[in-house]
Amino acid sequence: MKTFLFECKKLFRKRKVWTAAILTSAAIIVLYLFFYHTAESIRSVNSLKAEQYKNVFTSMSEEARTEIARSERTGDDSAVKGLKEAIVRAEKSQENYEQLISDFQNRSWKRIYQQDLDFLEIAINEKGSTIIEEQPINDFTLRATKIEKEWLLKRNLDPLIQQTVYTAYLPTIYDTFTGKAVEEWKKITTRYAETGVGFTYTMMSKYYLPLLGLISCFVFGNGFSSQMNRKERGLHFAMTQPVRKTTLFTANYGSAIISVVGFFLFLTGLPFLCSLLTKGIGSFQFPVLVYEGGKENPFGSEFNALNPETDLFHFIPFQTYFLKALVLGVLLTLVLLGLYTLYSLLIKSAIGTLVLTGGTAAVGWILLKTSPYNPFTYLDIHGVLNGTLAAEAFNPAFSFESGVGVLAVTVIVFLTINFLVFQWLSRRVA
Amino acid sequence: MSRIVIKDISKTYKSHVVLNSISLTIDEAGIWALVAPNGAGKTTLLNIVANLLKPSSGKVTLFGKTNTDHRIFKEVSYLQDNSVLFDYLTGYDHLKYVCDVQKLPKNRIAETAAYVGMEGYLKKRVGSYSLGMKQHLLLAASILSKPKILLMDEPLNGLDPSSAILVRNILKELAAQGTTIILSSHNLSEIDRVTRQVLFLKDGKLLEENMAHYEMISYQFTMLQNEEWETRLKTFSFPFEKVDKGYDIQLAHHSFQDLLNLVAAATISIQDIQKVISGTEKRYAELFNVREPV
Amino acid sequence: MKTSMFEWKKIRRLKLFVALAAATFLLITGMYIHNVVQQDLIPAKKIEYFSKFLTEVSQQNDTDQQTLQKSEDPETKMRLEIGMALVGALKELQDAIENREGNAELSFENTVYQIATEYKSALGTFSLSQKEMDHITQVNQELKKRNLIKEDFDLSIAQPLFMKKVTHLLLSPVGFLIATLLIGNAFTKEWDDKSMQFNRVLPVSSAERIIGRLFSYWLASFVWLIIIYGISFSLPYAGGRTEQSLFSYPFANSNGQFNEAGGLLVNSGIYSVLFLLFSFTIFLLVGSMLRNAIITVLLVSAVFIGGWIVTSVGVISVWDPFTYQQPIQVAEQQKSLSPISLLILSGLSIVGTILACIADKRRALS
Repeated sequence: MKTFLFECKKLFRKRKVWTAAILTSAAIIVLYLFFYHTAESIRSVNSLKAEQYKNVFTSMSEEARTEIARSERTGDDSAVKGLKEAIVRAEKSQENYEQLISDFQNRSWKRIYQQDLDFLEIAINEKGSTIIEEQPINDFTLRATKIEKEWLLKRNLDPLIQQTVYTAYLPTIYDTFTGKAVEEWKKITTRYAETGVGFTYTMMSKYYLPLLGLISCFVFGNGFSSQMNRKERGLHFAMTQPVRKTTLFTANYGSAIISVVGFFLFLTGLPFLCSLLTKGIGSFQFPVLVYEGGKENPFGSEFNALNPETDLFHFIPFQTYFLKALVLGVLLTLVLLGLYTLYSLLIKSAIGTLVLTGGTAAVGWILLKTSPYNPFTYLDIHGVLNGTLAAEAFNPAFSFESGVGVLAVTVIVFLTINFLVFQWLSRRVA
Repeated sequence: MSRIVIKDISKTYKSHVVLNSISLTIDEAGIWALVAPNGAGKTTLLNIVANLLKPSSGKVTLFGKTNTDHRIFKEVSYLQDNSVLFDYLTGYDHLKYVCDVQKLPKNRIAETAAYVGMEGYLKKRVGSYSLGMKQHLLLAASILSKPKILLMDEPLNGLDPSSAILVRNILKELAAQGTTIILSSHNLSEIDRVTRQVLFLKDGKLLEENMAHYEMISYQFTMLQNEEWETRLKTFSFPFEKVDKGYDIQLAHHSFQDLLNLVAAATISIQDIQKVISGTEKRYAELFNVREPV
Repeated sequence: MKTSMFEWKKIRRLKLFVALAAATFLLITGMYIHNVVQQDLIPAKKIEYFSKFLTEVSQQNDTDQQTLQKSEDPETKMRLEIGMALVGALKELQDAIENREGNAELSFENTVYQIATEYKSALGTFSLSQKEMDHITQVNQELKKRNLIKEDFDLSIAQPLFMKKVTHLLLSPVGFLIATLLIGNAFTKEWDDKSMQFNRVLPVSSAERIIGRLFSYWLASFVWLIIIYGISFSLPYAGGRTEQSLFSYPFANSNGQFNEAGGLLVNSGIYSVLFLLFSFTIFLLVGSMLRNAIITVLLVSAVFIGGWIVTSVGVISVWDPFTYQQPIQVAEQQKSLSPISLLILSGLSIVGTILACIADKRRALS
């Protein structure tokens, strides 16, 4: 315990470690504020667009009124009738847009959700009727969007901001757009958040947690290597004390684990703290889509294909998703720390270690992501928890439970390897 | 023109005053030893002179040029702590770079390496060097350009006796050829062997003193220790100290002839006698309140 | 120059640059082998793509036939006729793809879109927008004009297309950041190792020191670029896809203009060279100011990734130097090399270098 406390003291007394920690925290805060402002500006652009659409209908009804006066002069009654009907329709649309603008501004989502639900009901029943750049939106996406809206309506939750004044669709893995439709779909379905929950949720699909884990290792995981190089021989001091190497290793590794995991959790929680100064934390009840996947083809796995019309899904609240993500995130951080420590013991360069750790994880993920027994598969925490990996591979083994198992075993394996390397190195330098 | 002018240099870290308005002028070639206990500011002073560290106040000029001008290093060299070496480069790489930036002929590398006795190590990575060999490399790098001013921070650190002799001779040779050397060291007996000019750093102030005034001559007798000899030394009030091989006997108020008379009367077997001059240690003990040996 | 040579020596001895070069080589070779293995899948992929339309139109044809059996409707009849022709054209197209008849494939694809346009005006369903079809037709005509066949942008092993794919992957924000950090490690390491002081007591000015470093890092990154371009050029050469005309392969940008593959590669190469210069300038400036490896890496990464995020959210401007982290995308959007782009990158590099020199003047210790 004394050795452990000594190691912790050494780590936390380093000014550069604190500077790095403050700098990383500042970067996360800036990132949060950037996305917050982007979301705000998209919201005002949406209001502006709705205003423009409303103005189109206003000028349409004005033009129709002028036209009516002209037609009345010429005595064209049928034209007058048609124009009057057009005015009614235009005024109705104008009202709708006015309502939409007011709802946007007052963050009153109920009516918007209800309108979306009415529309989605029709869209689901009339297959192929809803299109993006003349390519139909698939049934699965429509169904998922509908259930998501129902969830939001029922719990009275705010949506995430999207770049559209119309139905804000939920993009899914079933979307198969091509060409320009891909860009358009991406544009209107990319979600931006104003709250802490929203920010964390939107960042999850971008390998946010593993990245935070890697950064934490870089900031707090250099204890071993910095003490074992030729210029700073801190461990030599400890080795000449009546302390067993096992204790020394445990103390060093333990202090690294605590500080790295602690910093990882702090960075993960930071956007929630920041959000208290902006639009609040948000609701932990926010819905997260989970794919249940499709049925395997009886004629062989090569014929497996996702079916947007029959495949199932469900939603879970963000809190469930987030807790599981944290567990996987912490384990993944420990795996990365294991790898980071191993490299740092061998190459003694913080930058080299960082790049090699990131590189190994990325290569491991790219080459072996098809295996649920590859620890780096779980870099895609979002893909594991929302069932993307399981659905795409038709393999339910890509799950939270197997993730915990595989990562825990890997943590132990790295721990053992690092201990052996530490022993070998300490014998070599002693 | 003065070679080194240190004017009113002060250095303060938060509330701790390390150097307090230090001034020093050196006009000629020779060796000056900088002596002080650990943490008194020896390296700080050398770093300030070499412009690695900004003083809180004051100014340093070397050959009339302010030390912030990088061109002074054509005439000034600074031998620093061995951590400044690049572990992943070879000794040759270091010397080649110095040679290049100082615009010196390439053959100087081999010459200097041979001069400091490290020719066999030039092609090896510095990471594989012993502490002593790193000191040799630092020495080679600092004398490669035959500087007119040589600042040395603990040059004798980690050297074995034969290397220490070699370095001592090199320093004397350089001084004789016209180099001004300021060296910091804790090895007071080595200092006595190379110079009488000592700069004591005490309470942030610099005291320049000539050790000739404090010189204390003693003789090291290599012989078997015996009681009769010790009684005689006591009787004639010779201050002495028992050492491994025999005795260190100070002359103090006696002359060398007195000592010879004593030896002649004793009829004891003496294997060797060596003259040892030690003034610095005495002065150091006085200045820094160190209890002197009896 | 002497400082550059010394820095270059350090870069080589530190081995991280060697590791970067080796990883680059392995990655490109791996990609090439992957693409070679996947060659047979290209026609299958294309056939599958057109099958979607074939199923769609066939289903509509069946419905139309059933409608016509019940009652005569001239509009439905016309749609069915066009639909049948469209199915025929789609099948011919698939045959051409299967038989790897590149030129015929282009003609049949254009025919398909021609008939599909008629089909859509007859209220038939064809899940491709008119704008998209016109665009592809235009590209196909360009290809025919240049006597080229259609390539798969992801899996092609044709020299310029493979090179474009490789440069797209490596000359990217992540690639540039890794190269900058690994090559620049020689610099930040010195502050941690205290070896910076060795340099500081030699007659070398701050400007010489910074410019010397910048030049050597730039040289190393240039070697890295040569490795990228050289290997991605050589592997397809060894594999046989080396037709000279392939370098005129047209790539359409969002303005509907065509850029030739060769020109794109040259322009993106020039932007990469300049962006790397800018990138090392930033690295030296931050490093000279902060004088610590970990903090420098974090700040430089934050600046570069931040710049990338800003660009990816849609704030793209020729005046923003971080736009050039994706040089191939920038080159694609421009008809030719933009003097503004060149001026921005070199101008900012000069300013950055001057600031780095000023930051370097600060004494080594504090």
